[in-house]
Amino acid sequence: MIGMIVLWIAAILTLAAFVANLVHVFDYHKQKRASQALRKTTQSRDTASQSPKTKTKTLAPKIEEPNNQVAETRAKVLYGLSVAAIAAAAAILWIILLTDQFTYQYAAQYSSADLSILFKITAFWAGQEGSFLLWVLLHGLIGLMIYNRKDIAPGAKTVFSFVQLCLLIILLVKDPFVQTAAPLVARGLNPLLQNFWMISHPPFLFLGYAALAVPFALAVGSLLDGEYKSWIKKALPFSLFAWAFLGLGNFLGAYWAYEVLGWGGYWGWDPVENSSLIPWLVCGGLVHFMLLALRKPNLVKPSYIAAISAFGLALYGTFLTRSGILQSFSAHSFGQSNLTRNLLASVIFPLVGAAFIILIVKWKKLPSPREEDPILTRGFMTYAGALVLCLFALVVLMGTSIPLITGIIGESSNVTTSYYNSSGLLSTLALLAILLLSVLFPWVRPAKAEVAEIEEAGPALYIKIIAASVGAIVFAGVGFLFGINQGPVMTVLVLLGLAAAGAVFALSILSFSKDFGRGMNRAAVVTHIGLSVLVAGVLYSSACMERVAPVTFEAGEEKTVLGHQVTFLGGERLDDPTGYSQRFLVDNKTVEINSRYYEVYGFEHKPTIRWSLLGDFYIAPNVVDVAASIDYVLPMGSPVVIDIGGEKIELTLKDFLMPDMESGDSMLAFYVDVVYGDTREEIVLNRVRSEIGMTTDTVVVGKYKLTLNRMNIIEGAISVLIYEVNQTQDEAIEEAWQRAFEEAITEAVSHVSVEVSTKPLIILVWLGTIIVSLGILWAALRRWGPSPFQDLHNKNRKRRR
Amino acid sequence: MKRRHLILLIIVVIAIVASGVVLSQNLSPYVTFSVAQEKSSSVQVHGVLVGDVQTLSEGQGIMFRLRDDDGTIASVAYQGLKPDTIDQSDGVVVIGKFDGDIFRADKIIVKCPSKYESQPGGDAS
Repeated sequence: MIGMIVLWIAAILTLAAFVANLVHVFDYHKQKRASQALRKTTQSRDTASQSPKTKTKTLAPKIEEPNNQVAETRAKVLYGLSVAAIAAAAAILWIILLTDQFTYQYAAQYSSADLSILFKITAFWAGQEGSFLLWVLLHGLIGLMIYNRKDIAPGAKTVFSFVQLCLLIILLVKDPFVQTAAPLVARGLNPLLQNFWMISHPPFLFLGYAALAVPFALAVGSLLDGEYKSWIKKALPFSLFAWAFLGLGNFLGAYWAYEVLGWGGYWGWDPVENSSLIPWLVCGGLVHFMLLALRKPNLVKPSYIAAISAFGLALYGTFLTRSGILQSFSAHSFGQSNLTRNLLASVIFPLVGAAFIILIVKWKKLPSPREEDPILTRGFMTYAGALVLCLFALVVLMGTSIPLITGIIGESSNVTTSYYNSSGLLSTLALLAILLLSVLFPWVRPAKAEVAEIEEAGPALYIKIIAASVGAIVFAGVGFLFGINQGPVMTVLVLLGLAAAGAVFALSILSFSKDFGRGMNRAAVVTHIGLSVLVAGVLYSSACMERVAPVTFEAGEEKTVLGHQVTFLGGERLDDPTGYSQRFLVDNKTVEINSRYYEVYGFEHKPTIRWSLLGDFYIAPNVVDVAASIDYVLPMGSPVVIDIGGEKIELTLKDFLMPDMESGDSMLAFYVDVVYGDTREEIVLNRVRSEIGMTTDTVVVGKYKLTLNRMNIIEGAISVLIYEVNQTQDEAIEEAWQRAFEEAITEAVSHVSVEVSTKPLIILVWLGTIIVSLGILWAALRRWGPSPFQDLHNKNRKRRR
Repeated sequence: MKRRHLILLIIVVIAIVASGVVLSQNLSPYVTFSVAQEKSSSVQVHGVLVGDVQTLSEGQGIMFRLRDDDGTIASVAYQGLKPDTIDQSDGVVVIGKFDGDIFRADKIIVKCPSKYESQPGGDAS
């Protein structure tokens, strides 16, 4: 209850901050116009009287300052209070989770009393409501940074608070503080989610989303303020941070999928994965467009489109995954409800649509560069590379949205993963080729006088080409050695991709030396090295992968699987919570799977990995079923033999009697032949509809009770519950379940069926993701300071002279 | 139109055409078994499991019967392990194509709302 009130307060304060900002924006514009008019008049006076120019400078601020200050402070205080309210709401949810208040649905659904403190804290973002709250919280905290900066114009602050208001509206409807009168049964956190990678990846992703709102707000705000250039420099560090954190979020999620889910890979092109990959790719494009804009201050249009698209696509991804609209196309599960869908659609689409409309309206006023970069320059290549990143995103977006699009046109279709694989590979090839060219060319085409200098440095170019070739041959050669088991076209593409990655890798390494890396940003070089390593890792581990399923083992059995010696050493029973372990000896190293049983979720089901530098050996075990039932289906006419506690009973459904419609009560009667031991009996099971509802007969046959359970008149089949006379039905079900559970554990430790695959050089994937993230973070930190790009620019200019 | 714009335009057009071609080749419509029988390309069929999942001999994967939304039942073979929770699933989506009378699935998606969500159907989120 109190949580909800706090959220409402937060929303009202945000609205107030938004309004205060709007007022500020109007003031700002009024004053700007006034001072412009003033300047004009003074200028005309100046020209007329030739009076000193200082007059304008002293006059204008006198009118502007005080008013602005008040409006700005007012907006800042209101915004700060709104963030405080959001933080309070978040604190309340954390307190609810930490103090096990299971009258709150959210706590009951994602936490339980026996959960460790760490997981209680992280249960905060286990569900949708909590994740939205986390998003708003991070958005607010980043907003404080924005509001504290005087150099950021009021327009951007207005937009930022409006985005916060939209997120809060979603949160007000998707209330995380729903309470019931009596405590609910705590389900606990899904064991699959109780994992370091899983709990750490949503905060990174949402931090990325929150940071992505900054370039969005600055872009739209600058359109409102009419300052089309200065925003880019301010937005760049935030875009870099967003890029780094979105990347980290994706990478951690991928690692979780690999280590925990046992789908056999780190990436499955699932809508949920795609919808966080798309903003990451566009953000990459955005960062490059912005870097270009810093070099060519008039080149702002691409940054505008990318800034609005990146955040818009993050919201669209949220819509796709949270509305359940792709329910039947994803292995992830979401709540499916029209309320959520309409809510998200009515908040997200107008927000993004409005941003684009403002852009279109102002498009004509945006500056354009007077001269274009010639094609054979790094400037042009950067532009093309950023474009390819955005096109890659478009390709993924098309694939992800195809079920919706085809659903509108007619027959709903989905794309297969090979669409993503081949178009993704093609995009990556284009990206690497452009990257390669960008390293070969200088930022600007050299002036004629400089050509001599370039020729002087002639050997450098040859060394570059030799290094690139060596890199290409080594990377492709390694792929060849592992053996690429794909179709002919794919094999060629994979080899090309590896060669390109190798060339980029070698050239980038070379760029660290002063002679070859002139005019190159070290952080960018590191990121590009990471990219080449990542691409190579992805290609080796997927194109050279081998897979076989199922492989069955008895305890102690040894087999050669995909060239590896594998022995199933057997396993043992685990306690608290109950489960089993299975141990394998793979190439003289023991790996172990621990599967424990959770009441709500069943046995946890994880793969195990025999790790090595050359590649992983991945073992995914089969699912252990606990198929326990005292419910037996009897089809019409055919005898069914049931083994119950070592005794055999044969049951045959002979006939049934339809209800007599004439009389008031309708009754169904089933005639069943029962044979056990030497006796044979015919019994009648009745189902009677009367005033108290349906009543079902229980018939005693010897030691057992038979109860009619389900029936299917059309197919002429019924099911009966069979249990011992001295038991209640619940006791019987519990006992049967326990027996099946013990059998399942006994079975699992002595016999196993697994899916086995090899992942050559997959370590490069992890290494690549780490290098990429570090490179981007480094770039972000470098830009955090006040002098971005200036040094380089000056150096270049000096060089040209 | 500047030369650079022209080149960029060509890149974009090539990219769109190429991805369009790849897309149309890899489009797999949501159909029923009876439609799937007539198609040679990959399709997806939604259905519910009928009976048990059989594990075949070494390296052969699994096999099960699926009843699609029209009520047609077909045998589905899959080169892999029995997917998690297929027994308690609300439905199964198989992606692949028919090979004679057997539907060979490249991928299986198991729908299981109860796993992550406690109140399927309602506004449980």
